[in-house]
Amino acid sequence: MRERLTRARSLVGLGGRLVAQRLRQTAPRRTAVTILGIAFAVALCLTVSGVSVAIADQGSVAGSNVDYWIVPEGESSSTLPVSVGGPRFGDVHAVGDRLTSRSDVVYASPVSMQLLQLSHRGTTEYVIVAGVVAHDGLTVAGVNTSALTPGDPHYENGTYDGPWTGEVVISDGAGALLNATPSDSVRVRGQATSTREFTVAAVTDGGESGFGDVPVAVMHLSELQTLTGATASDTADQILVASTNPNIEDDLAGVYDHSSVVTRSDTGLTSVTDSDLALALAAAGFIVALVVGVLFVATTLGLEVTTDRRLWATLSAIGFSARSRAFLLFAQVGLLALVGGVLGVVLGRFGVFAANTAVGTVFENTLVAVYPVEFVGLGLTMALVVAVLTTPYLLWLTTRGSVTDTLKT
Amino acid sequence: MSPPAEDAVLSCHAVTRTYTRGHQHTRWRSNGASDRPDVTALEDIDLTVEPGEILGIKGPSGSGKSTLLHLLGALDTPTSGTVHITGRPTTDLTARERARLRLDSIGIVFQRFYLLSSLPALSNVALPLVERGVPKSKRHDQASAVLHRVGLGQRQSHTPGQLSGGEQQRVAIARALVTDPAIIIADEPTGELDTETGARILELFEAAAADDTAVVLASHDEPTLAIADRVLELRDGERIDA
Repeated sequence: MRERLTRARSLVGLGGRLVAQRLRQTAPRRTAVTILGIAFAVALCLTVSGVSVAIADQGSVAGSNVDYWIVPEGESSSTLPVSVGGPRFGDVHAVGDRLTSRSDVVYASPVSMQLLQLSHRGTTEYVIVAGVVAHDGLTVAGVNTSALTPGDPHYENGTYDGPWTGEVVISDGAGALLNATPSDSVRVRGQATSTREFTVAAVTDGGESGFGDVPVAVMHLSELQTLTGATASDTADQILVASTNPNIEDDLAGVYDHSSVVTRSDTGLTSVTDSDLALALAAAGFIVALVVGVLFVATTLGLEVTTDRRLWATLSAIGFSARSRAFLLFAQVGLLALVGGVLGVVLGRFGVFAANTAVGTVFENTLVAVYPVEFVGLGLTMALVVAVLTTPYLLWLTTRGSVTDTLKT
Repeated sequence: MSPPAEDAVLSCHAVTRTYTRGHQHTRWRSNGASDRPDVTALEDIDLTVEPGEILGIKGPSGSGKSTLLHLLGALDTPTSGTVHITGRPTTDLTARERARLRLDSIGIVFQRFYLLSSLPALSNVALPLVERGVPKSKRHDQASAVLHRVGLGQRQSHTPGQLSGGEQQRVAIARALVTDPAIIIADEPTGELDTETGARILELFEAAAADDTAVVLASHDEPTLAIADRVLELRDGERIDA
């Protein structure tokens, strides 16, 4: 056993000297190309994996603070954010309060969507108006509701006699259409009552959640219900629930008959970036990088092995077994792979940076790729896999032609 | 199969080596047939070599000298007949066993030295000891001692490129001697050296033989063969000295 270990250590040392000689003297360019080939393969793998992990991360963020939408049966996730005029739920404030009281629910808010006319300084536009029970962090149709007074003051236990806030938060799309800014007064024309004045509490970036420039306004639910005459049965289109419990979906499905539950990950843009895509990307990146790496190394080192055929014949003649020669060859390929792997890890970091920079020029504050520390291990493992897959071919090359023929020439 | 001669470290009996010409070009044919005739490089060779004996092999190019040396060095196996090396029939051994036999019992010296150009003389000589799993310090001690024996004690750290042809051949001989082999096989060992350097190389073979190592030398060169106890002459693969 000790003899084998000594032999293995010595062969690794010998392999290192042979590699160093190639780099310094006999084939510096070809050896450099081998190392760069491995580095390129590793960098490619890590960059694609970085994108995959970033995509998978989006899913996990949604999963750690899941938003559930309780919607009437038949609503599809694609129509969910702008569901106007479909089947509605009743008694929604009570249901929302009951859900919010659960320890595993961060907040629950009924959401009513209406298409209403908003006017400001002579400009009148149709805008999607959402009524909500405001909570810090609640975002509806891409509009953050933090600027609204928390809760739904006008509702006051179903009497609709509470204080009228007259607050509305509008998306920047609506703001641009109406030329409205915070503190401006906008007139909202309801269906059941005369027009009411609202104060713009904030203009927010409607690009969030993919709504872009769609004109959206968000106000308290009871005030929207009052405007639209929906106070009698306290109705809303959907109920949004933010929960930390990943298993709450079944409970929510039982809140109303003929309802279904949709998660945030099923909606909007996130639906195209699910974990399957991340897995497919990672697998494709790994396979492509592996093929590129193996082809590079097989080609360049194949030439080296052919050039060195006298070396292999000499070692065989002086008594090196086929196993020792294979180990020596693997030591050389492994050392080159290690150097290429380290370089690839650095290049991969640069690739991720480049990808984020390139996308960042189009979409601000967007990370399309990440580079966790585990990628160092992944890169080196990738390089090792390239070495392992290439060695059999190189070994076959060393056995081509007999020792006696090689030493005669 | 006939047994080896009692005292012989090396023996051949009715050894024939035939090469199938054009094999590489025809092996994918379903019947493996070649349109070129086989070549018999050696035919019906008998010989024995005893410890401490120097056997010379002479003959013109293509006479079969190298083929015979490859068989005696366990680099190749005969098509028919038997070769016994230290009592072991090479035809019965696997490739791995023949490699071990070369490592333990045979030192081979080539006309072109075949040293590893990146390694200093000391590491070149120590190469067979790497395969034996000898620890670094021990193998360097052994290699250094042999280099002193061949007169290169002061040139241990020099790479082949920094050594003359004669010095390189001495390094090659030291590499062959470092495992203390029973047999040294040398193919044209002075072929690339001047007369004076060649003479000094031959002294090393004589010294090895004096230590009971059997030496088999193949050469065209009469002065080289002059150190041999016996000379076997080949022509067209057959012995003509008998």
